[in-house]
Amino acid sequence: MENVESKVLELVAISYRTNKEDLTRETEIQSLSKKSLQMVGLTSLLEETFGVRITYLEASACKTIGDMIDKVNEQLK
Amino acid sequence: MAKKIKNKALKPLSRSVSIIGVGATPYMYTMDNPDTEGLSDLEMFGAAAIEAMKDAGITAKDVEFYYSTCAMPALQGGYITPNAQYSSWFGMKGKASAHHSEACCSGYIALEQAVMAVASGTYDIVLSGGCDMSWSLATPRKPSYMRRQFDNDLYISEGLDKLYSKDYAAPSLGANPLVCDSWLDSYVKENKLTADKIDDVLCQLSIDCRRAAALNPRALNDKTYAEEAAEVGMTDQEYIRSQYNPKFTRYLRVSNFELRCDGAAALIVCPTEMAYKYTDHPIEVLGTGHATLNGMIGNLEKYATSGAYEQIKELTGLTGADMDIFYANDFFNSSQLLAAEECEYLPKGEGWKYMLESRTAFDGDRPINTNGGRCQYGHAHGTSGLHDIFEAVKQLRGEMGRTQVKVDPQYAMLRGFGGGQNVTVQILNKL
Repeated sequence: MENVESKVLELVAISYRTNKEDLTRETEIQSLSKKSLQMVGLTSLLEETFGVRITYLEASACKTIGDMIDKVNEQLK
Repeated sequence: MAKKIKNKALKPLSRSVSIIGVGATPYMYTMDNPDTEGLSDLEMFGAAAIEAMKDAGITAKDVEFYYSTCAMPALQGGYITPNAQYSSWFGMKGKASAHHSEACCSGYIALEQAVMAVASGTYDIVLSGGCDMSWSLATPRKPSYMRRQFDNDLYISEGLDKLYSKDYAAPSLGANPLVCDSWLDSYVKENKLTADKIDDVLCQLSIDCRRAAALNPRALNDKTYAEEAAEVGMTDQEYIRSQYNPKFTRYLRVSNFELRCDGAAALIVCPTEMAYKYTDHPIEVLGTGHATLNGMIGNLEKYATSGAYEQIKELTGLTGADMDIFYANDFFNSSQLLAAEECEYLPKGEGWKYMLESRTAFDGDRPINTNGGRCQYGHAHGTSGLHDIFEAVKQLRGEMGRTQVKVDPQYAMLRGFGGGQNVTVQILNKL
Protein backbone atom coordinates (compact mmCIF):
# COMPACT_ATOMS: atom_id res chain seq x y z
CA MET A 1 0.00 0.00 0.00
CA GLU A 2 2.82 2.38 0.86
CA ASN A 3 4.42 1.71 -2.50
CA VAL A 4 1.16 2.49 -4.23
CA GLU A 5 0.89 5.77 -2.34
CA SER A 6 4.44 6.77 -3.18
CA LYS A 7 4.03 5.86 -6.85
CA VAL A 8 0.71 7.71 -7.21
CA LEU A 9 2.29 10.80 -5.65
CA GLU A 10 5.16 10.50 -8.14
CA LEU A 11 2.79 10.18 -11.11
CA VAL A 12 0.70 13.15 -9.95
CA ALA A 13 3.93 15.19 -9.65
CA ILE A 14 4.94 14.24 -13.21
CA SER A 15 1.51 14.96 -14.67
CA TYR A 16 1.11 18.31 -12.96
CA ARG A 17 4.78 19.39 -13.26
CA THR A 18 5.28 19.81 -9.52
CA ASN A 19 7.51 18.41 -6.77
CA LYS A 20 6.53 15.13 -5.20
CA GLU A 21 7.69 16.47 -1.82
CA ASP A 22 5.02 19.17 -1.96
CA LEU A 23 2.21 16.63 -2.35
CA THR A 24 0.29 14.71 0.34
CA ARG A 25 -2.79 12.51 0.48
CA GLU A 26 -4.77 15.62 1.40
CA THR A 27 -3.68 17.71 -1.62
CA GLU A 28 -6.72 18.66 -3.69
CA ILE A 29 -6.14 17.83 -7.35
CA GLN A 30 -8.02 20.92 -8.57
CA SER A 31 -5.55 23.06 -6.62
CA LEU A 32 -2.72 21.78 -8.84
CA SER A 33 -4.41 22.66 -12.12
CA LYS A 34 -7.87 22.75 -13.60
CA LYS A 35 -6.59 21.63 -17.00
CA SER A 36 -8.40 18.47 -17.97
CA LEU A 37 -5.61 17.37 -20.30
CA GLN A 38 -3.31 16.75 -17.35
CA MET A 39 -5.94 14.46 -15.85
CA VAL A 40 -6.12 12.59 -19.19
CA GLY A 41 -2.35 12.02 -18.96
CA LEU A 42 -2.49 11.02 -15.30
CA THR A 43 -5.26 8.49 -15.96
CA SER A 44 -3.15 6.89 -18.68
CA LEU A 45 -0.11 6.73 -16.39
CA LEU A 46 -2.12 5.14 -13.55
CA GLU A 47 -3.56 2.49 -15.89
CA GLU A 48 -0.19 1.70 -17.43
CA THR A 49 1.76 1.67 -14.15
CA PHE A 50 -0.64 -0.40 -12.06
CA GLY A 51 -2.36 -2.42 -14.81
CA VAL A 52 -5.75 -1.23 -13.58
CA ARG A 53 -8.79 0.17 -15.37
CA ILE A 54 -9.69 3.68 -14.25
CA THR A 55 -11.84 5.78 -16.52
CA TYR A 56 -11.24 9.47 -16.99
CA LEU A 57 -14.54 10.27 -15.29
CA GLU A 58 -13.68 8.08 -12.28
CA ALA A 59 -10.32 9.79 -11.92
CA SER A 60 -11.91 13.23 -12.32
CA ALA A 61 -14.30 12.41 -9.47
CA CYS A 62 -11.35 12.06 -7.05
CA LYS A 63 -11.17 15.25 -5.01
CA THR A 64 -7.83 14.60 -3.33
CA ILE A 65 -4.76 12.54 -4.14
CA GLY A 66 -5.81 10.29 -1.25
CA ASP A 67 -9.08 9.54 -3.08
CA MET A 68 -7.04 8.56 -6.12
CA ILE A 69 -4.74 6.30 -4.08
CA ASP A 70 -7.84 4.61 -2.61
CA LYS A 71 -9.28 4.16 -6.11
CA VAL A 72 -6.08 2.45 -7.31
CA ASN A 73 -5.94 0.22 -4.20
CA GLU A 74 -9.60 -0.70 -4.74
CA GLN A 75 -8.83 -1.79 -8.30
CA LEU A 76 -5.77 -3.78 -7.21
CA LYS A 77 -7.76 -5.93 -4.74
CA MET B 1 -19.80 3.17 -43.67
CA ALA B 2 -20.66 6.33 -45.60
CA LYS B 3 -20.43 6.31 -49.38
CA LYS B 4 -18.22 8.79 -51.18
CA ILE B 5 -19.84 12.23 -51.05
CA LYS B 6 -20.47 13.89 -54.39
CA ASN B 7 -22.45 17.07 -53.84
CA LYS B 8 -23.65 19.27 -56.68
CA ALA B 9 -21.10 21.66 -58.13
CA LEU B 10 -20.85 25.08 -56.52
CA LYS B 11 -21.92 28.00 -58.65
CA PRO B 12 -19.50 30.92 -58.92
CA LEU B 13 -20.10 33.89 -56.61
CA SER B 14 -22.18 36.64 -58.21
CA ARG B 15 -19.37 39.06 -57.41
CA SER B 16 -15.88 38.59 -56.03
CA VAL B 17 -15.51 39.13 -52.27
CA SER B 18 -12.36 39.94 -50.28
CA ILE B 19 -11.33 40.08 -46.65
CA ILE B 20 -10.20 43.61 -45.76
CA GLY B 21 -9.81 43.35 -41.99
CA VAL B 22 -9.14 40.79 -39.26
CA GLY B 23 -8.94 40.92 -35.46
CA ALA B 24 -8.36 38.34 -32.75
CA THR B 25 -7.91 38.29 -28.98
CA PRO B 26 -5.20 36.05 -27.60
CA TYR B 27 -6.28 32.57 -26.61
CA MET B 28 -6.38 32.38 -22.82
CA TYR B 29 -7.67 30.83 -19.62
CA THR B 30 -9.62 33.94 -18.72
CA MET B 31 -10.73 32.86 -15.25
CA ASP B 32 -7.27 31.70 -14.18
CA ASN B 33 -5.47 35.00 -14.71
CA PRO B 34 -6.09 38.03 -12.46
CA ASP B 35 -5.47 40.29 -15.48
CA THR B 36 -8.34 38.75 -17.44
CA GLU B 37 -10.67 37.33 -14.81
CA GLY B 38 -14.06 38.99 -15.14
CA LEU B 39 -13.86 39.53 -18.89
CA SER B 40 -17.15 38.56 -20.51
CA ASP B 41 -17.90 37.16 -23.94
CA LEU B 42 -19.45 40.54 -24.77
CA GLU B 43 -16.16 42.39 -24.19
CA MET B 44 -14.13 39.71 -25.94
CA PHE B 45 -16.32 39.80 -29.06
CA GLY B 46 -16.29 43.60 -29.02
CA ALA B 47 -12.48 43.71 -28.74
CA ALA B 48 -11.99 41.39 -31.73
CA ALA B 49 -14.59 43.24 -33.82
CA ILE B 50 -13.05 46.66 -33.09
CA GLU B 51 -9.59 45.35 -33.99
CA ALA B 52 -10.95 44.01 -37.30
CA MET B 53 -12.56 47.37 -38.08
CA LYS B 54 -9.30 49.19 -37.32
CA ASP B 55 -7.40 46.73 -39.50
CA ALA B 56 -9.81 47.44 -42.36
CA GLY B 57 -9.65 51.19 -41.79
CA ILE B 58 -13.41 51.49 -41.29
CA THR B 59 -15.67 52.51 -38.43
CA ALA B 60 -18.81 50.91 -37.02
CA LYS B 61 -20.92 53.20 -39.20
CA ASP B 62 -19.55 51.48 -42.32
CA VAL B 63 -20.67 47.98 -41.27
CA GLU B 64 -24.07 47.12 -42.77
CA PHE B 65 -24.64 43.65 -41.37
CA TYR B 66 -22.91 41.43 -38.85
CA TYR B 67 -22.89 37.76 -37.96
CA SER B 68 -21.95 36.27 -34.64
CA THR B 69 -21.04 32.69 -33.92
CA CYS B 70 -20.34 30.46 -30.93
CA ALA B 71 -20.21 26.67 -30.63
CA MET B 72 -22.52 26.46 -27.62
CA PRO B 73 -24.11 29.89 -27.12
CA ALA B 74 -26.76 29.09 -24.52
CA LEU B 75 -24.30 27.13 -22.38
CA GLN B 76 -21.13 29.20 -22.67
CA GLY B 77 -22.51 32.70 -23.07
CA GLY B 78 -25.90 32.21 -21.50
CA TYR B 79 -27.71 33.68 -24.53
CA ILE B 80 -29.91 32.22 -27.24
CA THR B 81 -29.36 35.36 -29.35
CA PRO B 82 -25.78 36.51 -28.67
CA ASN B 83 -25.77 38.73 -31.77
CA ALA B 84 -28.33 40.98 -30.11
CA GLN B 85 -26.32 41.13 -26.87
CA TYR B 86 -23.05 41.93 -28.66
CA SER B 87 -24.55 44.92 -30.54
CA SER B 88 -23.79 47.49 -27.83
CA TRP B 89 -20.15 46.50 -27.58
CA PHE B 90 -18.93 47.63 -30.98
CA GLY B 91 -21.39 50.21 -32.18
CA MET B 92 -23.96 48.01 -33.89
CA LYS B 93 -27.19 49.02 -32.15
CA GLY B 94 -30.14 48.67 -34.51
CA LYS B 95 -28.17 47.06 -37.37
CA ALA B 96 -29.24 43.86 -39.08
CA SER B 97 -27.55 40.76 -37.71
CA ALA B 98 -27.81 37.01 -37.25
CA HIS B 99 -26.28 34.30 -35.14
CA HIS B 100 -25.24 30.87 -36.39
CA SER B 101 -23.74 27.86 -34.64
CA GLU B 102 -22.08 24.79 -36.18
CA ALA B 103 -19.91 23.54 -33.31
CA CYS B 104 -16.18 23.85 -34.01
CA CYS B 105 -16.75 24.55 -37.72
CA SER B 106 -18.56 27.78 -36.83
CA GLY B 107 -15.56 30.04 -37.47
CA TYR B 108 -15.09 28.81 -41.04
CA ILE B 109 -18.81 29.08 -41.76
CA ALA B 110 -18.64 32.63 -40.37
CA LEU B 111 -16.56 33.45 -43.46
CA GLU B 112 -18.82 31.52 -45.83
CA GLN B 113 -21.94 33.34 -44.59
CA ALA B 114 -20.34 36.78 -44.74
CA VAL B 115 -19.10 36.14 -48.29
CA MET B 116 -22.56 35.04 -49.43
CA ALA B 117 -24.18 38.14 -47.90
CA VAL B 118 -21.85 40.35 -49.94
CA ALA B 119 -21.77 38.22 -53.09
CA SER B 120 -25.57 38.34 -53.23
CA GLY B 121 -25.36 42.11 -53.64
CA THR B 122 -27.50 42.76 -50.56
CA TYR B 123 -24.68 44.26 -48.47
CA ASP B 124 -21.29 45.78 -49.20
CA ILE B 125 -19.55 45.63 -45.83
CA VAL B 126 -20.20 42.70 -43.49
CA LEU B 127 -18.51 41.85 -40.21
CA SER B 128 -18.45 38.25 -39.06
CA GLY B 129 -17.08 37.30 -35.66
CA GLY B 130 -17.24 34.79 -32.88
CA CYS B 131 -16.51 34.34 -29.23
CA ASP B 132 -16.25 31.10 -27.31
CA MET B 133 -15.45 31.11 -23.62
CA SER B 134 -14.72 27.39 -23.71
CA TRP B 135 -12.73 27.41 -20.48
CA SER B 136 -15.64 28.73 -18.44
CA LEU B 137 -19.42 28.95 -18.43
CA ALA B 138 -21.99 31.66 -17.95
CA THR B 139 -23.68 31.51 -14.55
CA PRO B 140 -27.47 31.36 -14.82
CA ARG B 141 -29.22 34.54 -13.62
CA LYS B 142 -25.89 36.32 -13.02
CA PRO B 143 -24.16 39.12 -14.99
CA SER B 144 -21.94 38.09 -17.91
CA TYR B 145 -18.67 38.73 -16.07
CA MET B 146 -19.56 36.26 -13.30
CA ARG B 147 -18.43 33.00 -14.85
CA ARG B 148 -17.90 29.51 -13.46
CA GLN B 149 -15.48 26.66 -14.18
CA PHE B 150 -16.31 24.47 -17.20
CA ASP B 151 -14.75 21.16 -16.19
CA ASN B 152 -14.60 18.07 -18.35
CA ASP B 153 -17.52 16.35 -16.59
CA LEU B 154 -19.78 19.17 -17.72
CA TYR B 155 -18.07 19.39 -21.10
CA ILE B 156 -18.86 15.77 -21.78
CA SER B 157 -22.33 15.64 -20.22
CA GLU B 158 -23.57 19.05 -21.39
CA GLY B 159 -21.38 19.82 -24.40
CA LEU B 160 -20.38 16.71 -26.34
CA ASP B 161 -23.75 15.17 -25.47
CA LYS B 162 -25.35 17.74 -27.76
CA LEU B 163 -23.11 16.93 -30.72
CA TYR B 164 -24.10 13.36 -31.43
CA SER B 165 -27.22 11.78 -32.82
CA LYS B 166 -29.91 10.68 -30.40
CA ASP B 167 -32.12 9.09 -33.07
CA TYR B 168 -32.24 5.71 -31.40
CA ALA B 169 -29.97 5.81 -28.37
CA ALA B 170 -27.99 8.02 -26.03
CA PRO B 171 -24.73 9.22 -27.57
CA SER B 172 -21.70 7.13 -26.81
CA LEU B 173 -18.62 8.66 -25.19
CA GLY B 174 -16.69 6.54 -27.65
CA ALA B 175 -17.97 8.56 -30.55
CA ASN B 176 -15.27 11.18 -30.52
CA PRO B 177 -12.29 8.78 -30.68
CA LEU B 178 -14.29 6.72 -33.18
CA VAL B 179 -14.59 9.73 -35.44
CA CYS B 180 -11.04 11.01 -35.01
CA ASP B 181 -8.89 7.92 -34.44
CA SER B 182 -10.35 5.50 -36.99
CA TRP B 183 -9.08 7.47 -39.97
CA LEU B 184 -5.56 7.45 -38.54
CA ASP B 185 -5.78 3.72 -37.99
CA SER B 186 -6.74 3.20 -41.64
CA TYR B 187 -3.88 5.45 -42.72
CA VAL B 188 -1.37 3.50 -40.67
CA LYS B 189 -2.53 0.21 -42.21
CA GLU B 190 -2.80 1.47 -45.79
CA ASN B 191 0.73 2.85 -45.67
CA LYS B 192 2.17 -0.16 -43.82
CA LEU B 193 3.39 2.03 -40.96
CA THR B 194 3.89 0.88 -37.38
CA ALA B 195 2.50 2.44 -34.20
CA ASP B 196 6.07 3.49 -33.33
CA LYS B 197 6.60 5.19 -36.68
CA ILE B 198 3.36 7.18 -36.49
CA ASP B 199 4.31 8.08 -32.91
CA ASP B 200 7.58 9.53 -34.24
CA VAL B 201 5.63 11.51 -36.84
CA LEU B 202 3.11 12.94 -34.38
CA CYS B 203 5.81 13.71 -31.79
CA GLN B 204 7.81 15.69 -34.35
CA LEU B 205 4.62 17.44 -35.44
CA SER B 206 3.94 18.43 -31.81
CA ILE B 207 7.48 19.80 -31.41
CA ASP B 208 7.23 21.84 -34.63
CA CYS B 209 3.75 23.17 -33.88
CA ARG B 210 4.84 24.13 -30.37
CA ARG B 211 7.79 26.06 -31.86
CA ALA B 212 5.30 28.13 -33.86
CA ALA B 213 2.93 28.61 -30.91
CA ALA B 214 5.74 29.68 -28.56
CA LEU B 215 6.62 32.50 -30.97
CA ASN B 216 2.99 33.62 -31.40
CA PRO B 217 1.74 36.15 -28.82
CA ARG B 218 -1.86 34.99 -29.32
CA ALA B 219 -1.13 31.32 -28.55
CA LEU B 220 -1.77 29.59 -25.22
CA ASN B 221 1.70 28.04 -25.06
CA ASP B 222 4.71 30.30 -24.69
CA LYS B 223 7.49 27.72 -24.21
CA THR B 224 8.96 25.30 -26.73
CA TYR B 225 9.15 21.62 -25.84
CA ALA B 226 12.95 22.03 -25.77
CA GLU B 227 12.58 24.66 -23.03
CA GLU B 228 10.11 22.54 -21.05
CA ALA B 229 12.35 19.49 -21.41
CA ALA B 230 15.42 21.37 -20.20
CA GLU B 231 13.63 22.09 -16.92
CA VAL B 232 13.66 18.36 -16.15
CA GLY B 233 17.05 17.63 -17.70
CA MET B 234 15.85 16.08 -20.95
CA THR B 235 15.99 16.86 -24.67
CA ASP B 236 12.72 17.62 -26.44
CA GLN B 237 12.88 14.24 -28.21
CA GLU B 238 13.22 12.41 -24.85
CA TYR B 239 10.61 14.55 -23.13
CA ILE B 240 7.94 14.17 -25.82
CA ARG B 241 8.13 10.36 -25.48
CA SER B 242 8.37 10.32 -21.67
CA GLN B 243 5.88 10.05 -18.85
CA TYR B 244 5.45 13.81 -19.16
CA ASN B 245 3.55 13.14 -22.36
CA PRO B 246 1.90 9.70 -22.03
CA LYS B 247 -0.17 7.95 -24.67
CA PHE B 248 -3.89 7.80 -24.03
CA THR B 249 -4.98 5.92 -27.15
CA ARG B 250 -3.19 3.43 -29.35
CA TYR B 251 -1.53 6.24 -31.29
CA LEU B 252 -2.17 9.54 -29.54
CA ARG B 253 -0.29 11.23 -26.71
CA VAL B 254 -1.41 14.13 -24.55
CA SER B 255 0.48 16.57 -26.81
CA ASN B 256 -1.62 15.39 -29.75
CA PHE B 257 -4.85 16.62 -28.17
CA GLU B 258 -6.62 20.00 -28.34
CA LEU B 259 -6.22 22.68 -25.64
CA ARG B 260 -9.65 24.03 -24.70
CA CYS B 261 -9.60 27.77 -23.88
CA ASP B 262 -11.30 31.18 -24.32
CA GLY B 263 -11.02 33.54 -27.29
CA ALA B 264 -12.67 35.72 -29.90
CA ALA B 265 -11.97 36.76 -33.48
CA ALA B 266 -13.61 38.69 -36.31
CA LEU B 267 -13.22 39.52 -39.99
CA ILE B 268 -14.63 42.05 -42.43
CA VAL B 269 -15.44 41.41 -46.07
CA CYS B 270 -16.53 43.63 -48.95
CA PRO B 271 -16.76 43.36 -52.75
CA THR B 272 -13.26 43.04 -54.21
CA GLU B 273 -13.99 45.97 -56.52
CA MET B 274 -14.33 48.17 -53.38
CA ALA B 275 -11.54 46.53 -51.37
CA TYR B 276 -8.66 48.70 -52.61
CA LYS B 277 -10.44 51.74 -51.17
CA TYR B 278 -9.67 50.29 -47.73
CA THR B 279 -6.50 48.26 -48.08
CA ASP B 280 -3.53 47.71 -50.36
CA HIS B 281 -3.66 44.00 -49.69
CA PRO B 282 -7.16 42.50 -50.04
CA ILE B 283 -7.41 38.75 -49.59
CA GLU B 284 -9.94 37.30 -52.03
CA VAL B 285 -12.15 34.42 -50.91
CA LEU B 286 -12.40 32.02 -53.83
CA GLY B 287 -15.16 29.92 -52.29
CA THR B 288 -16.20 27.37 -49.70
CA GLY B 289 -16.64 23.64 -50.36
CA HIS B 290 -19.00 22.29 -47.74
CA ALA B 291 -20.27 18.87 -46.65
CA THR B 292 -22.18 17.82 -43.54
CA LEU B 293 -22.49 14.38 -41.96
CA ASN B 294 -24.10 13.21 -38.76
CA GLY B 295 -21.55 12.90 -35.97
CA MET B 296 -22.20 9.20 -35.42
CA ILE B 297 -20.97 8.18 -38.89
CA GLY B 298 -17.58 6.51 -38.72
CA ASN B 299 -14.80 8.12 -40.76
CA LEU B 300 -17.04 11.12 -41.41
CA GLU B 301 -14.04 13.46 -41.29
CA LYS B 302 -12.49 11.68 -44.26
CA TYR B 303 -15.67 11.49 -46.36
CA ALA B 304 -16.80 15.04 -45.65
CA THR B 305 -13.30 16.45 -46.22
CA SER B 306 -13.17 14.71 -49.57
CA GLY B 307 -16.67 15.94 -50.52
CA ALA B 308 -15.93 19.56 -49.57
CA TYR B 309 -12.53 19.49 -51.27
CA GLU B 310 -13.92 18.12 -54.55
CA GLN B 311 -16.41 21.00 -54.64
CA ILE B 312 -13.82 23.75 -54.21
CA LYS B 313 -11.45 22.04 -56.64
CA GLU B 314 -14.15 21.91 -59.31
CA LEU B 315 -15.17 25.52 -58.67
CA THR B 316 -11.68 27.04 -58.77
CA GLY B 317 -9.67 24.63 -60.89
CA LEU B 318 -7.07 24.74 -58.11
CA THR B 319 -5.82 21.74 -56.16
CA GLY B 320 -4.10 21.39 -52.81
CA ALA B 321 -0.81 21.11 -54.69
CA ASP B 322 -1.28 24.73 -55.84
CA MET B 323 -1.53 25.96 -52.25
CA ASP B 324 1.32 27.55 -50.29
CA ILE B 325 -0.10 27.15 -46.76
CA PHE B 326 -2.64 24.68 -45.36
CA TYR B 327 -4.74 24.84 -42.20
CA ALA B 328 -6.66 21.95 -40.64
CA ASN B 329 -8.88 22.21 -37.58
CA ASP B 330 -7.09 19.47 -35.64
CA PHE B 331 -8.68 18.40 -32.35
CA PHE B 332 -6.11 15.59 -32.66
CA ASN B 333 -2.99 16.71 -34.50
CA SER B 334 -3.12 13.65 -36.76
CA SER B 335 -5.87 15.57 -38.62
CA GLN B 336 -3.15 17.80 -40.08
CA LEU B 337 -1.62 14.81 -41.83
CA LEU B 338 -4.87 13.18 -42.91
CA ALA B 339 -6.63 16.32 -44.14
CA ALA B 340 -3.52 17.61 -45.95
CA GLU B 341 -3.30 14.36 -47.94
CA GLU B 342 -7.05 14.19 -48.59
CA CYS B 343 -6.88 17.74 -49.98
CA GLU B 344 -3.78 16.89 -52.07
CA TYR B 345 -1.62 19.48 -50.28
CA LEU B 346 0.78 16.63 -49.48
CA PRO B 347 1.25 13.61 -51.78
CA LYS B 348 -0.86 10.57 -50.88
CA GLY B 349 0.93 8.22 -48.54
CA GLU B 350 3.93 10.54 -48.27
CA GLY B 351 2.70 13.19 -45.84
CA TRP B 352 4.11 11.41 -42.80
CA LYS B 353 7.61 11.77 -44.26
CA TYR B 354 7.13 15.52 -44.70
CA MET B 355 6.19 15.79 -41.03
CA LEU B 356 9.03 13.62 -39.83
CA GLU B 357 11.43 15.94 -41.68
CA SER B 358 9.73 19.10 -40.28
CA ARG B 359 8.79 20.19 -43.81
CA THR B 360 5.28 21.13 -42.59
CA ALA B 361 6.61 23.40 -39.82
CA PHE B 362 6.02 27.15 -40.25
CA ASP B 363 9.59 27.48 -41.53
CA GLY B 364 9.35 24.41 -43.78
CA ASP B 365 8.60 24.27 -47.52
CA ARG B 366 5.00 22.93 -47.09
CA PRO B 367 3.76 24.77 -43.98
CA ILE B 368 0.67 23.57 -42.12
CA ASN B 369 -1.05 25.23 -39.15
CA THR B 370 1.50 28.01 -38.87
CA ASN B 371 -0.06 29.19 -35.60
CA GLY B 372 0.49 25.78 -33.93
CA GLY B 373 -3.04 24.45 -34.43
CA ARG B 374 -5.60 23.36 -31.87
CA CYS B 375 -3.14 21.24 -29.88
CA GLN B 376 -0.48 23.93 -29.38
CA TYR B 377 -2.08 27.30 -30.23
CA GLY B 378 -5.37 26.47 -28.50
CA HIS B 379 -9.00 25.77 -29.23
CA ALA B 380 -11.84 28.12 -28.34
CA HIS B 381 -14.34 25.96 -30.20
CA GLY B 382 -16.44 28.10 -32.56
CA THR B 383 -13.76 30.77 -32.95
CA SER B 384 -10.88 28.53 -34.02
CA GLY B 385 -11.79 28.83 -37.68
CA LEU B 386 -11.75 32.62 -37.39
CA HIS B 387 -8.36 32.45 -35.65
CA ASP B 388 -7.04 30.30 -38.51
CA ILE B 389 -8.44 32.78 -41.04
CA PHE B 390 -6.79 35.61 -39.05
CA GLU B 391 -3.49 33.74 -39.25
CA ALA B 392 -3.89 32.89 -42.96
CA VAL B 393 -4.68 36.50 -43.87
CA LYS B 394 -1.68 37.79 -41.91
CA GLN B 395 0.59 35.17 -43.51
CA LEU B 396 -0.64 36.03 -47.01
CA ARG B 397 0.01 39.71 -46.29
CA GLY B 398 3.49 38.85 -44.94
CA GLU B 399 2.75 40.31 -41.51
CA MET B 400 3.49 37.40 -39.17
CA GLY B 401 6.99 38.45 -38.15
CA ARG B 402 8.88 35.66 -36.39
CA THR B 403 6.52 32.95 -37.65
CA GLN B 404 6.21 34.26 -41.20
CA VAL B 405 6.46 31.36 -43.62
CA LYS B 406 9.60 31.13 -45.73
CA VAL B 407 7.71 30.56 -48.97
CA ASP B 408 6.15 33.61 -50.69
CA PRO B 409 2.48 32.63 -50.26
CA GLN B 410 -0.16 33.25 -52.93
CA TYR B 411 -2.87 30.80 -51.80
CA ALA B 412 -3.98 29.38 -48.46
CA MET B 413 -6.40 26.47 -48.00
CA LEU B 414 -8.37 26.00 -44.80
CA ARG B 415 -10.04 22.71 -43.89
CA GLY B 416 -12.70 23.38 -41.25
CA PHE B 417 -14.18 20.56 -39.17
CA GLY B 418 -16.64 20.73 -36.33
CA GLY B 419 -17.22 18.03 -33.79
CA GLY B 420 -18.39 15.50 -36.35
CA GLN B 421 -20.83 17.61 -38.40
CA ASN B 422 -19.87 20.32 -40.88
CA VAL B 423 -16.66 20.18 -42.90
CA THR B 424 -15.54 23.04 -45.13
CA VAL B 425 -12.62 23.62 -47.48
CA GLN B 426 -11.90 27.26 -48.36
CA ILE B 427 -9.30 28.94 -50.53
CA LEU B 428 -7.90 32.44 -49.93
CA ASN B 429 -6.00 34.28 -52.66
CA LYS B 430 -3.62 37.20 -52.17
CA LEU B 431 -4.42 39.99 -54.66
